[in-house]
Amino acid sequence: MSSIPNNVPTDVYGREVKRQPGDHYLNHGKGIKSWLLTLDHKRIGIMYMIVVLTAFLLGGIFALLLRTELISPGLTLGPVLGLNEDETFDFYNHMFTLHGAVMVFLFIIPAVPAILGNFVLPLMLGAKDVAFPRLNLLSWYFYMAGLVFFVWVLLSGVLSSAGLIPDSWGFGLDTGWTFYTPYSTDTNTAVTAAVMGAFILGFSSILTGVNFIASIHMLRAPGLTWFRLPLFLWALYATSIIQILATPVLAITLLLLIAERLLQVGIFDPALGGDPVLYQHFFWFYSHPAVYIMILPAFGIISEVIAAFSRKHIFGYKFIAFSSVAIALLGFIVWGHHMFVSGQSPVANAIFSLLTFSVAVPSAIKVFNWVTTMYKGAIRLDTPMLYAIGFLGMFLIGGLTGLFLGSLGTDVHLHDTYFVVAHFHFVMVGSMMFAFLAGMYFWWPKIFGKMYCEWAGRLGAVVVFIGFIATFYIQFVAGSQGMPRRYATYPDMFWTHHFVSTLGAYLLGLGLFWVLGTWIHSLVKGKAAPANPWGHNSLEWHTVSPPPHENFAVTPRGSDPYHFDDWHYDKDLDTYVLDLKEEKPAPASDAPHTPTTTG
Amino acid sequence: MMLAILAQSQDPSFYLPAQDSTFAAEYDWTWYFIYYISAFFTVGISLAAIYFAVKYRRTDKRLEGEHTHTHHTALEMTWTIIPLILVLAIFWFGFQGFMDKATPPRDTYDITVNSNRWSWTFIYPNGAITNTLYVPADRPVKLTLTSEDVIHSVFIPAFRVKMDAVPGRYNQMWFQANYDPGDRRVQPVLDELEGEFNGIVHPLYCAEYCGRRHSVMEADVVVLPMDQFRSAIAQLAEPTGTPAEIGQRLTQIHGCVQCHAFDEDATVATGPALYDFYGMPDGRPQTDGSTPAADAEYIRESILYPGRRITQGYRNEMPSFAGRLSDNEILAITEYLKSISTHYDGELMEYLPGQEPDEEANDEPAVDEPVEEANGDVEDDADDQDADVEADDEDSNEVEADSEEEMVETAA
Repeated sequence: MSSIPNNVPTDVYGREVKRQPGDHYLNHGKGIKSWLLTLDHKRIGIMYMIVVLTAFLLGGIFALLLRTELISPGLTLGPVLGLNEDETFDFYNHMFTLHGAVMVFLFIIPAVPAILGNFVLPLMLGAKDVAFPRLNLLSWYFYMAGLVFFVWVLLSGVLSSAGLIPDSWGFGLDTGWTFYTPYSTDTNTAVTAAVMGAFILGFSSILTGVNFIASIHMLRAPGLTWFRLPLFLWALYATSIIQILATPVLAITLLLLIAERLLQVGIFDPALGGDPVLYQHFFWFYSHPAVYIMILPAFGIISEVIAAFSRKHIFGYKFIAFSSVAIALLGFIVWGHHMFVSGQSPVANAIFSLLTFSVAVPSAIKVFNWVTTMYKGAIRLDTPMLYAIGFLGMFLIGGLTGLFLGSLGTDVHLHDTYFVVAHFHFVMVGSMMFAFLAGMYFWWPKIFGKMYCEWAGRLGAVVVFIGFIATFYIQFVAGSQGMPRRYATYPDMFWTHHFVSTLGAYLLGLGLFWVLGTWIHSLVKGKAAPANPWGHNSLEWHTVSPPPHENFAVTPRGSDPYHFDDWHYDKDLDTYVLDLKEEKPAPASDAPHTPTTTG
Repeated sequence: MMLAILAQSQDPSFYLPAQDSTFAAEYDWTWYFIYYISAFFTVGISLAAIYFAVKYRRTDKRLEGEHTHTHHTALEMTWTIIPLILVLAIFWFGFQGFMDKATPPRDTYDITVNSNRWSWTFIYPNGAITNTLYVPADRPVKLTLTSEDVIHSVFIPAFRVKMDAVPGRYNQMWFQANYDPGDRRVQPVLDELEGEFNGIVHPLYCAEYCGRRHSVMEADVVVLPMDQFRSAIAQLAEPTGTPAEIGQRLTQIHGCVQCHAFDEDATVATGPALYDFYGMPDGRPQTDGSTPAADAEYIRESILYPGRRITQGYRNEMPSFAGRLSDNEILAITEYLKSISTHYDGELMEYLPGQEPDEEANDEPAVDEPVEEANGDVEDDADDQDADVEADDEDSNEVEADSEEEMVETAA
């Protein structure tokens, strides 16, 4: 515990920051209007945080409902809710579809770039804001518009069940998040509304990507060369490439789907001369790169956290940086591995399989570099580091099970089973969500200027980890034994698997609510955060917490972000402070230091 | 473990089901090959990370990590090249396993699989139609998959095979089932067969999400020794019983029972219930306001053109059976509906037209011709089809001709 009186924030030199009205971004303007019309990337990041976490909560509730239905082989939750057999099937199908669609489109894709990326990227660059602040705000409004459509999809299901709107309006959504034709052009549910929502959300994603690429190119602080960029920025840069190039394809595909539904144009419907597998090609041409949109930013967070908590320079900087870009580019040419049993030609299958394995190599390089970074470090097992180590294990399992699915012969048996479900949850939840939580705890003091309760954070990490493993590892076993996906009921032989999985899901849910509790507790009771609680050297730690509206009083100079030698631990303040040989700037300012060249 | 799975195993391992086809042993070898590589790296790297986290843990925050190398090109190349070699090996084994599954031998026994929401229909070369897939043991079997509505997918975990049934195209898959008479899973098969049949039963699942009842779109795969299989299929090709009984069987084969209730205990309600329906005093009100009489004409129209009139409270979800059911078969279904209706007290037919009992038994059964015999002789009952948009798909004989070409193309 710190001995500093009155719990006041300190600057990078460990000097007290005199708080004045409007001296940081959170109190820079007052009232709801100052938020809704803000151009400040930090506030937009906070606004994203609120709505994206709300979507996460929604998706999580759907997940718990569908796992509850699966706790026993027959009809379980449906009869409790007074539903007959067909209604129970419908209920389950709507639940897994909404879970998938909300989690993918509203949580996983925007989570890291839109929340942490928006907040941290300009700070890491030493810039005042992103390149196009207005587009940044517009992207948030696009997100909200998309959210409204999804809320309508959800509401229509509820209202229709209550008999308040006619069925012909479409109610709920039961196509699976993939919207495969011809089922999606044929079902009576609110596919058009959901697809419009996804279409609009795409623009939010594209604008974020445009902003990040322009910012990284144009707004780097003096001295911040490409190879001094924190690896988080390399990861976001790679992500943005995919967002810009792949998302328009989804937009076109979704428009074609709407045209197919409303105008019967006959692109996908075989009765009208179309081809349903063509839809799968279009869809996965975006949606496979999209899974790299989901995971690449997570890689960036892990690079920062492991280096910071090992107190050691990241190992193999260029290999990690280039492997991010390599994954982004290779990710564009592997989409066909989703269709090995769709009747695609064996030649195409073989090529897609071979290309798929090419992604394994850069992924492996990253993992080896992270572990090597820990070697001979001075490792502190704080909450972000616990999540990062959890990430390593989860990503190993998630990534390596991709080998089973990328390999043609083995995929035939495993395709569309719980093995696939477990595989992508290990990558999307076990890896991406763990990294997201690591990043949230890592930058929490910077974002809100409050420390969180360390033991509670660690406990949450352990509970989430155990809950996750219990939920999903057993699904590999169920899948390889032949349990198909998207089943509301299942043969008795899979009862044990599902029972364990459901209990694990409850524990995972509990852990995540605990995590939320630690955040709320921090906002209410957390002690003031110093400028740099972890001793990391990227530029966002060179300004006070929370940052002022302009981020930096004086434009900082970029240096090697993983060079921690200038930061020394101050026991009295319980924080890392800059210890420079040269003259410090006048106090009461939050001027960043201007380091000498570091070697 | 590795050696144990090289022999055919009739017991499931922890991860994989019993090995009941010729693919299974090789498949499991590849699966476990990848598994052990994955386990080695997962355990190795995780242990390294945990070991470092414990060994180099420093509670004193003043300490810094050692300034070791920040990069090491030789090391990077090592862990680039070794994974590359490993994944190429994995690709190669997977590719070989897939090509085995993609290239059926020349002497396959061919069965056509017709799928619709939410039932499987299997059509055999001799004209038999079933909902249960009977396959001969130790003989390569090729399935040609079609779908009437949305995408389905045949998945037989015991055989390690899967293939999507895509509307508007023919996908094919093949396998060769194992059968050991001493297998403790051999059981008498009584369902729709009369006589002595002992087979092994495996589940067949639909693996591609297809809507409401996707999770109950299952079928049994019954593996029979060749001699038993031949007599079973011969027996199934002969429609037996009264027209009403034939009609009842047709409602099961063609999946009517997946949506319509034919007795009070049935829980399905996707479509209107059909017991106590024939001869209903006022018929059922339709969405267009009409109340057609519940008679043979309405039943025929509903089967051939289900979208024309929709009973109030239901949706237009039923596929058309034009081209899939002959006049005689529709007649048989109508007889069946008469027999389960309390509103009808009249006589029931004793035999279908052309099946008079005094005729010789070598009469053509009133079922679709098998796909394999594309002899192009057009049956009379194929004439009553309207030449509307879907006509291409409706004439079963045209389909046969197409399918032959398609198969040649896909095989090439």
